[in-house]
Amino acid sequence: MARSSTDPFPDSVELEAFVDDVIADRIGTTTPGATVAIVSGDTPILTKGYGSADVDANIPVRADETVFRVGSVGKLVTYTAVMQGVEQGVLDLDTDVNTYLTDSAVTVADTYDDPVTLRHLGTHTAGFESTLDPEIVADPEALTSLETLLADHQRSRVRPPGEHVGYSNYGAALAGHIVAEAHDTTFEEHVQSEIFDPLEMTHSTFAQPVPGDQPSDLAAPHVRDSESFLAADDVYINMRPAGSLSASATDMAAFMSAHLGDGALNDSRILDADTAERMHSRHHVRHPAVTNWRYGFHEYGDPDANLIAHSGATVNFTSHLLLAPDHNVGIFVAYNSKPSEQPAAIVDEIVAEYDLQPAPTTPQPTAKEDGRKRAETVAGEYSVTYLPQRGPLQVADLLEHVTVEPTGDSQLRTTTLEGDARQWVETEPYVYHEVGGHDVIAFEVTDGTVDVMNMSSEPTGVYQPVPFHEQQVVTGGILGTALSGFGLSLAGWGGHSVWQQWKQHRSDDELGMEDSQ
Amino acid sequence: MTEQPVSQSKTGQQTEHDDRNRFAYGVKRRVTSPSWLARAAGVALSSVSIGFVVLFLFVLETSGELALITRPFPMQIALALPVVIAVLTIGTTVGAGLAWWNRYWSLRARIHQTVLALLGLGFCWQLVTLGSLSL
Repeated sequence: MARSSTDPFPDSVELEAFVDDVIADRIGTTTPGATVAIVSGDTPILTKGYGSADVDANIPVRADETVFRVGSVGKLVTYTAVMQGVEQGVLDLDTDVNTYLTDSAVTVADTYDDPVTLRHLGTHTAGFESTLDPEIVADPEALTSLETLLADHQRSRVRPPGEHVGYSNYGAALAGHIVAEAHDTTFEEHVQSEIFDPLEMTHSTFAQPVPGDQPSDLAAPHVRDSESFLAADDVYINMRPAGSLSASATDMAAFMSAHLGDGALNDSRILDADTAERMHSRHHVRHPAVTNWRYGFHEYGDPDANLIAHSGATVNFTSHLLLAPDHNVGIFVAYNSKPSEQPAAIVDEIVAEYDLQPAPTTPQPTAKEDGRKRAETVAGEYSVTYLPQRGPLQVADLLEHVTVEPTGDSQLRTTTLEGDARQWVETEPYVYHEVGGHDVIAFEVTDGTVDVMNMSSEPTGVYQPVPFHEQQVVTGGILGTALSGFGLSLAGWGGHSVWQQWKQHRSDDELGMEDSQ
Repeated sequence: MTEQPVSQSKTGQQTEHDDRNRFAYGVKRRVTSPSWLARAAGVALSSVSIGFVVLFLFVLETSGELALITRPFPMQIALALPVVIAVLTIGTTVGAGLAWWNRYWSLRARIHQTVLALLGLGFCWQLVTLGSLSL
């Protein structure tokens, strides 16, 4: 693995001042509290807490003591455990997962000829239907065993395995269950003994609620209350390997250093160097021009920058972990809130300031002819595979549609309902680079028809064309017309009723006057 | 003289009895009247559809998108309404058909009922598309 010989953080004081500045703008406005860890190889350069862990109790965030729910960043621990099993020979990335489930009530249906494997689970290409929900419960008493949960909430297989990425909490939870089955233990106990203990991650646990004997303080989740924040009730993730990890920034620094150190930190090794390298290599290619999947990690930012990352969120926590192996750098940021601008924004500012990826350049249009024709071919509305395709959560899919329009030769514009409008220039046929950014979209086209659109900034799925009758304009038009019609009808009935009563009163009054005369 | 209060009391009871009978008769006459039921279905369809959208958006606004996962009681109510809307759409549509077949109501009222039925069918189609209503 090529590594830069220059230290990206020559002055740790300057780095701290920069991060202080970046986060100071957000504390109290974007989030009540944040925790940050930045490592260079096996050395934590900065681990620091900011703001309040709990606004009601006025407890400050401490990087080494305050524990944040890191959500899906915990999947990296789960997939590290899978790779440990592969290294030990008890698991194989290309074997049917049902092989490991003979003593479990959980099975994966044989919907397609090809079986689901651990490689599919680690790259979210198993083809399970998406429900978004990692089985969140408000009451810890409602938590069940992982085996019961996975057996009772079996997900349908909606795509052949290996075909497309479609982010799946179920898949990650299944990977954790397979680890537990292969080692004849529970998932929580296994990662404790095989990852947390060797790395001395004493403030980390997948257990819920966080055990009372844990030497840490769990940050309170917060919700926005006009200009301030309120501490909220915590929730629990039943699909634990997919998102129940609680950890301090100091512990996440150790985890990042172990990955940057080819599987070892100081005298403790959690992966052989070969296994670590294998985990960090590509396991699924969506399209060569965009970000793709390593094992558990996805590529991030500029597809050529060799940045790997994972973001996480629970109901009121958000986090982001990024490794820059070429620079031997790891960055972790977590919030105890869930704002629209997530911790990745902080990571992006640090990446830009310290040149961990090249600055965006002006994309040069392809010299290939027929750019206008290709732009018209890819025009349309697209929905992403990681969003539910049935049930009430399907409304989220409608709201997230991306519209692609040609704006000239080899030029596109994409828009979303949220108002995110971006310009793109075609740099090679059907590959478009964002103007003023690192993002790339690449279309797969067969016989003049788009099969999928891959977007670098959305590695967790691929976009597929939306049929006309499911497009936003159709749905919005019909719903709007229907509701307007219903409203007018009710108003008409109301007006008619008032008119009748007024007429009745008038005739009664006239009769009364005639009688009195 | 002594009979008068008794007579008045009997008259009061009789009036109350008559009122009850009239009410029961009125209810019976309406619920067995296809034209009244058709109009009621149309009004209810309009009210419940608007109520569904208002409640759904209100819960999303106050509890966030998470409400679709954790489903607090108000969201459970909102998500139960699409089935009611589907039933009322069927009632409104059948009512519109009967109105044209039996030629009751004015032409304007029949067109109004037909438009409501078409809006209901379109609304249900989109509820299916959005996953709020299962076929």
